[in-house]
Amino acid sequence: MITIEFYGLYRLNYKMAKTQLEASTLKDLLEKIAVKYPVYSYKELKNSVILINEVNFIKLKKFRTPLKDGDVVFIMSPASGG
Amino acid sequence: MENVFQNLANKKIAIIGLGGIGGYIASLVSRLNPSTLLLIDGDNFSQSNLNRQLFCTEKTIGKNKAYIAKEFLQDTTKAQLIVVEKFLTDENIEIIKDMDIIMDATDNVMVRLLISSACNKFNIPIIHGAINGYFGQVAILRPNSKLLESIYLEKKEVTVLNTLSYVPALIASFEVSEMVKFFTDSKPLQDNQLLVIDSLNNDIRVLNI
Repeated sequence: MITIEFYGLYRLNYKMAKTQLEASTLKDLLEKIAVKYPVYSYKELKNSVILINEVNFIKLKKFRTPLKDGDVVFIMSPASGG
Repeated sequence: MENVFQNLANKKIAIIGLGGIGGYIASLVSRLNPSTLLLIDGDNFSQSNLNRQLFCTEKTIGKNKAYIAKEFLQDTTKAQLIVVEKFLTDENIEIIKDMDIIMDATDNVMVRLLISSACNKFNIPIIHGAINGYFGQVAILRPNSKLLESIYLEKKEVTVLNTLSYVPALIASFEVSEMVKFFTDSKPLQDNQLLVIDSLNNDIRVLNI
């Protein structure tokens, strides 16, 4: 299972800090989150700050990054207000 | 602690945006007595700002935010106060080129990217801060930092929730703290680090972006 940690706006709107899902890649995971918890679409989730085991996904294989059992995926919507 | 005042005494600091975060930054930084405070905002206070913007009162509604900030600060600081009652654009961005640091208190991604690009050119660091609802973030953008591009990705506007009065104050305090630590070399945030603060859940972390 992959552990997903929601932060900030996502944590507020999903009304949970963590959940777990099975997924083979980051794209697969985001698609499954969008289906299971349709608060945000896949397109919206794609624009998140995403860390996989504390490493930014843009430094990995982005949405093609493979996921394995025990991985922790942190998902955050950046703030922009002032 | 005296070294903080000595260090800041010759620093020229720009605050871009004098609304929620910026009003609190201006108040906090002014009492550290830098050499110069450049206050930049083209916006006027409106009724909807009363709930969270420090210098917004019934009497200041309709008046320019940067101008009013100066009115409030001039009796509390030794800093030279310079007011620019305009929004920053490509045409006037050069007004920040002689600053030692930029305090980001803007409210949208496009202006942040404009400032970041200009500061890369002028070799000026930025203390970045932003809020959304109960949540906020702070970072130090040293020249040529790609952190903003890394966090905002293709998203040039982010859904913004209403916020309560203490959230801009909280993020402003962390921005000023990071500015002081940066100038005094006291373990400031590193290049790729984003401090995130969720006041609703008391969850504060430093992420490696």
